[in-house]
Amino acid sequence: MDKPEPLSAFKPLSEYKVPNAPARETVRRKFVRFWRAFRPTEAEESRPDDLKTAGDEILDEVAARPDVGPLVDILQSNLTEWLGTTQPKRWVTTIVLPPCEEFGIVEKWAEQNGFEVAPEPTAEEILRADLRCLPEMKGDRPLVIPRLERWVLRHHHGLQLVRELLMRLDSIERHCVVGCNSWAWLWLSEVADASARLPAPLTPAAFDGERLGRWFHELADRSEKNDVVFRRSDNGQRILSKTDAATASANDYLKSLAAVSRGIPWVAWQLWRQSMRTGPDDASEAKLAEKNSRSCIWMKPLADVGLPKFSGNSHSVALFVLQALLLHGRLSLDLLRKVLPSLDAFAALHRLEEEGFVVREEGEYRVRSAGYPAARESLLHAGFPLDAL
Amino acid sequence: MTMLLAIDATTAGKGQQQAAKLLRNFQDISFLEILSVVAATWLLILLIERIAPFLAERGPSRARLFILGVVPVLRLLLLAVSICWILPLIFNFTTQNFLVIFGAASVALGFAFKDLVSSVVAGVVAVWERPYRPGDWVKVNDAYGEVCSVGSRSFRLRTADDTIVTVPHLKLWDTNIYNSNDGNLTLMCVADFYLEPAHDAARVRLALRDVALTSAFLQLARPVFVIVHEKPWGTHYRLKGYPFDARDQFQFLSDLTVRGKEVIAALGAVEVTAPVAVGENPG
Repeated sequence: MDKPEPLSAFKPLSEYKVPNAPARETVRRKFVRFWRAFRPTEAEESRPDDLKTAGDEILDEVAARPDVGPLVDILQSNLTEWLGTTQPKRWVTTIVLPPCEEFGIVEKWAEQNGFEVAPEPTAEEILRADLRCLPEMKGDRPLVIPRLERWVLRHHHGLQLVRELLMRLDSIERHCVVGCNSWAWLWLSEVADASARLPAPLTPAAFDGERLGRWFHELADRSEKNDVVFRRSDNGQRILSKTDAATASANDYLKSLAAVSRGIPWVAWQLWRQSMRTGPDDASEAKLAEKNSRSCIWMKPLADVGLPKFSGNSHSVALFVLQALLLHGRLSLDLLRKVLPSLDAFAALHRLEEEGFVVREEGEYRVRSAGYPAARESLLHAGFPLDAL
Repeated sequence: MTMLLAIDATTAGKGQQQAAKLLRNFQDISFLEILSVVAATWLLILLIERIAPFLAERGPSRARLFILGVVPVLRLLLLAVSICWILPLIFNFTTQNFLVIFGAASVALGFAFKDLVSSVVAGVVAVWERPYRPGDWVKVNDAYGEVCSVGSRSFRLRTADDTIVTVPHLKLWDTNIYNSNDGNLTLMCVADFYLEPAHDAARVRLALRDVALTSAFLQLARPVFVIVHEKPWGTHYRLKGYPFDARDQFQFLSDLTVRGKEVIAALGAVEVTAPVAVGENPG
């Protein structure tokens, strides 16, 4: 029996291809966008329906938080040969990850292998350009810098440290893996010559509709239920079923999901969970919660899910906040004020949090995966510089 | 002799007939049609002038200048079509008649509405040559602002102080018109710093470059320059960069200036305060 093809693979960044949506869906989305642009900005009326948002228990049953193990394994298989070379052509490998990655793929890979992880500098160390916090360039074990974006601040004193780090990495003579998010990578390539100093980066291949189908099938397969069927709520069409792996092949719903999430698996997973609805009666939900039962999850079309929608204009402070957060991964309010051009970030942050774009965790703000597609679209619309993917 | 007189009489009669046919018979002129064409043209122009800015503000930023630039072209086309439609309704067009009408109109307009006609002609040239178009940032004499509309006789600028300046197209013939972005989304902004000469110029230059590179308004795809001039009164730094949207130019400049002053102070350099720096025209 043939070994199934792995879900993803790390490929050169230049080969990243955002999945296309089905033509009909593209036309519909463009029309909806056009229509919304010319309507007065009043609260949208939601069409009442009988379906209810699926509760956490059900979500965790049929689409639990995925294990990043497979991605870590793929990273491992991509780098094993290079790590085994005693005199490699390049001592550094760069991994560019899509934004909103909160799983810590590179960190977990380093931890699994017992590699040396360079501790991130504090904001003060970055602004002081304190060279003492730079990692040692000599050593026996491979060095891992999981998030290069944490070594820089978009501040006039915030570039010196990362420049020094990149310069030292240029002459390093031990294996070193540098991770970076796609927004910071493009910016650092322009302001600190990162793309010239580091080798051409690898990035996980985009998850298209077919890959998403297989992945969601794997997640549903962990459920203790006998069968779970996912159907479209607008036409009843079956999207995938736990017992029938064949249905996991790409259909229009999954293709659309892949296109909206730009092939980023964690964004697609969040949208997948947010689209889930249960039947109208309480019995239906109770049945879903029951183990060893056969049940149906209704998937709302993505346009009707109530994902965050940006309501500000193209010069809104909120867009500058979103861009800064995507660039740095996460920031505290104090640091956000440092990297923004004397604009009142607090009010904008508060609104973004209410609209579901931003979440606060341990005193720092980050862009939510579910809000990323709309955030990127709004930044693109307003002409902001974007990311490398 | 009699024959010659007869020929003269015939020619004169034909001339009178032709002159009489220059204009259509009053009862043959369809005033309703003329009024309809004028009204329809006016309505269409009005619609285009209202809809285009509306679309431009709501559409993608990259399409804004294109949508705004279409307005004067469409207006010119509509005016040309309506004139070509109306004239044959009033005049009997033959080559001879055309020359008569054209000659008479030229003389009359040349004397009575010289400046107006010159402005209208310059307006047509402006649509063709595009020295300015809606969305461009232009300077004419003392006025600097964004072209918000281009009419048949004049165009309107909105300055940074939200003042509307109406400039006749006539200026095109004899005044330099400075266009900062020429149809592009971005334009170069220059922040000036004037320092006393005793300082580490290499460090100040690098620090100012970082000020631009870390601006939230910066268009990354365009270069950043720091130009240094040594002057008799001190050192003149010109920090040049492009914002990603021309409309952010004043905020971008303020951002560069505020943070530029901060790094200059941090490096121990001192800014020149002598009034000689004011009004200096840097190269």
